[in-house]
Amino acid sequence: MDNAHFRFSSDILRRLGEELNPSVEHGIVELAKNAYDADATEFTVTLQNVEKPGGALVITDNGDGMNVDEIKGGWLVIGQSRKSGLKRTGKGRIPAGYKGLGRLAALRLGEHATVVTRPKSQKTQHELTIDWKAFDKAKLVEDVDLSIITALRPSGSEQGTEVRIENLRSAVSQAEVRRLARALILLADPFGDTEGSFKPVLIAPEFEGIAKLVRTRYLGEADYHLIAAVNAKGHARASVVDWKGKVLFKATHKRLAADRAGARYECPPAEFDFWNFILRKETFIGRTATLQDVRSWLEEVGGVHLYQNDLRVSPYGNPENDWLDINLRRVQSPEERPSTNNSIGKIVVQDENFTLIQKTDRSGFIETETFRELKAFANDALEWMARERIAVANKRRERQRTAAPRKVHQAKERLDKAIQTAPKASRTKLRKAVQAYAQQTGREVESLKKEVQLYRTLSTAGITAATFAHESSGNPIKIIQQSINAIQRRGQQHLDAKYDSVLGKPVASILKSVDTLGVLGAATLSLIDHDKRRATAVNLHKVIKDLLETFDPFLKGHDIALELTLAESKPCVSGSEAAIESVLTNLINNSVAAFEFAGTRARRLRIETTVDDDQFQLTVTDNGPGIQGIPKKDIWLPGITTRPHGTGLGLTIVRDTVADLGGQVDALVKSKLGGAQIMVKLPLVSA
Amino acid sequence: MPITIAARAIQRISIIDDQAPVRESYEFSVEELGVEPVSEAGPLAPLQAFVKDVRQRAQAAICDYNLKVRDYSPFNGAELAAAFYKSQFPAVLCTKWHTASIDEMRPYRRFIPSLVDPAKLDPTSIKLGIEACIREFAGQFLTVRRPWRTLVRVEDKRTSDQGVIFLYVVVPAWNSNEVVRLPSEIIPPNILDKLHPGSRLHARVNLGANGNEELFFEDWES
Repeated sequence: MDNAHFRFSSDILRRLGEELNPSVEHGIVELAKNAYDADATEFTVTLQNVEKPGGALVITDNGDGMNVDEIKGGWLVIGQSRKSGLKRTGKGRIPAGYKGLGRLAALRLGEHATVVTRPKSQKTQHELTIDWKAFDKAKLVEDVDLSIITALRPSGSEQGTEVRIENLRSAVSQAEVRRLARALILLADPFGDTEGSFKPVLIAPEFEGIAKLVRTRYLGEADYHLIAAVNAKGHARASVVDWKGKVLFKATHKRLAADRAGARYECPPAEFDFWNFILRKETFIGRTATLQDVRSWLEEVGGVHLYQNDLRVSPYGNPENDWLDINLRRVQSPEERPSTNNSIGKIVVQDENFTLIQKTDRSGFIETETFRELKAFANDALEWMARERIAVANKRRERQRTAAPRKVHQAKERLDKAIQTAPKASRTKLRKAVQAYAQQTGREVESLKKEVQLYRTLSTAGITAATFAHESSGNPIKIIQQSINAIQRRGQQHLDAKYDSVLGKPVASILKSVDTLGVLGAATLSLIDHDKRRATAVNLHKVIKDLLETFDPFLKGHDIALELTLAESKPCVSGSEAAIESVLTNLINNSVAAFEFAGTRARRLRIETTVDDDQFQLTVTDNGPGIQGIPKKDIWLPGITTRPHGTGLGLTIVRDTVADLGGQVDALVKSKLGGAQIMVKLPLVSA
Repeated sequence: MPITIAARAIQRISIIDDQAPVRESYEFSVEELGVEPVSEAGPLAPLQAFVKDVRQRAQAAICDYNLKVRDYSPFNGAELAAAFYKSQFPAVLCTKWHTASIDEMRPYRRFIPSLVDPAKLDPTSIKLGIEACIREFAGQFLTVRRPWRTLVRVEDKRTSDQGVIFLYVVVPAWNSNEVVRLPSEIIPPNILDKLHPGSRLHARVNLGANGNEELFFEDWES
């Protein structure tokens, strides 16, 4: 029997390090986490001549250092997960226990790396040099020997580890330095109230700038501070305070988890702080911070950062990383919602058992149920805050509405006083004029109020129709259709020649009725499509044809013969499809209602278009009873109708819509066909 | 006795709709095809688990689009049909589409070869639908479904009342006169960010599509 082993090509080191951890900051942040695990309080990165290739990175910490066994059994082992079973450190920290891939990437930034480590309470130090060229030449990883040289510690040297990465293969750009600085500052929660015991520092001007910004802490200036927490039992609570510290809203678990029927959050205990700023000049009046300061601060450190056991996990909260979909929610419902530009936050998760698992390439957590639950907790807290704020905004609007009549009254008193100051002779004249004006305005307000009420009623009717349209175009019709089709197929198969005489007629009649019924749903749903309200150049003939196609089964179902004559061109108007549809739909409805009301037989509906220079005309004529019992000029008025269940709004909408499109309407009481005729003229635009 | 469609034996077809009477009405056509219908009563399992279950009891499926009704299903019919397709299981999506539902279905359209209006669902359309799926699994596309690399021109980029970003594009090789509305989620974000009215880019599109609702887009190149 021969023994065999897997062996690794030395190229694997390059691949593992560089491809899994492609950026400088990833590698160095991992070294910082090693230092954290070694109970260091300081971690310093110095950049030496990095503007061009050949420079060096010197990374030092004052942690516990390593002995030879720890170097061999831990530091030099790549890919080993040491998370489970790790004890807390002497300082009580939960070790991050990293796999060493980032470390590998960092060490490979240069052509060689040297590690000098001085273990705690020992007089020796150990030095290890890695020359990557030796690996490039060797075939297998194991072919390269690494030696650890142990010597006495120089007098006065402190415990800790120093890593020198020299002869850097490429320059480190300013943008990379900036990212590194940001990553190091944010690594150990700089937003907490108590200063942490671990301080990573980068010796570079960029670092000072950002560090200063972070230290400035505008958190106290936030207009809304959401404080939420979920405990070990998965129960959450939250409150929102304003910049003066006053509690605005408070929620229990039941309230926060209302959308999930109060189910507990299956995630480790976490605290979520979220600060939202109203970035408007007027809200900053009288405060110490300026609007511009807060803006640039948010730009630099904004985002919702995620901390697992006190160390930050990237990329959550990085620029462009909106992992809680804050911007999406705002777009979907903008009122009283934060955006990533005006907010900052942090979630600190106590996850001793590492139930949240980081991906090997350090691009965040694996999307497990636990992670999704953590997100659900944060999202529910944000959603709750938004709803509370919307409720407050609604109350404010309500107050404004009730305050309006009072304000009118006050204005009237001021006016009366002003009239008193006028010469006596003209006072009566002025009072009469004002009174006439007030009466006229009052009438207008009254009529507007009525009109608004009518629109509200009809909107409600429309909303109801749309709701039921989904239902009617859905199930009952589907079932009738499928069943009658099956009867037709099976009947034809089993009855052969007898089918027509036995089932032909009733089946055909059901099929026709189903088609008619289907229009209600199709037409309603088609009318409410939001895209149709978009202002654009509308192809009139296309809209007319599409609409008539939808109405076709309905017209047939009501025995209405459609006579359509379209002009030989492609006329376009500037407006929205919805506007044209609502004009034509109302005109058709008007004719259909007239036929029904008068019991017209042999019903004819004629729709014609003509194009003359820059003017388009749509003419809708029917052979119903014509305009009866109402002066022609009044047919356009809202609420005026001669039919018992009419709304009197159809032609008003036609008139108003056409006016909005810059056109005119006119009517004939009795047309050549015998019924009413409505003419709509619209100004054309070139397509 | 199973029937054979495109060399696959089909013995049972699962019927997925939140309403039992609708499922029952689809059974008529399935029975006439000579296949045993399997009515899927809810609530359905999560997507992948459900796909796995159905594969064990049937060889094809017919599903409605609106499935997220009450607690019937955690996914909609387009997601389901696409998941079936990805596991090489033929499915017919049976729904009355309107403009809004086309938007919702568009991201999945590449994986839905068979979209049938309920009024047109009968033994023949079921058979053709299943056949189209099986042939696509083997790389044989119907003309209306075959994707081609083609130029796409962006006419407009707008946010709807509901806050969804839509792109309005023209695919000249398909129909230079028709603007097609696309929900932005079907375009990779890094490409979407760079697009503005007038941008041109390439994608694979089924240029033989008969109508707007049949179009799908994949493999965007910036």
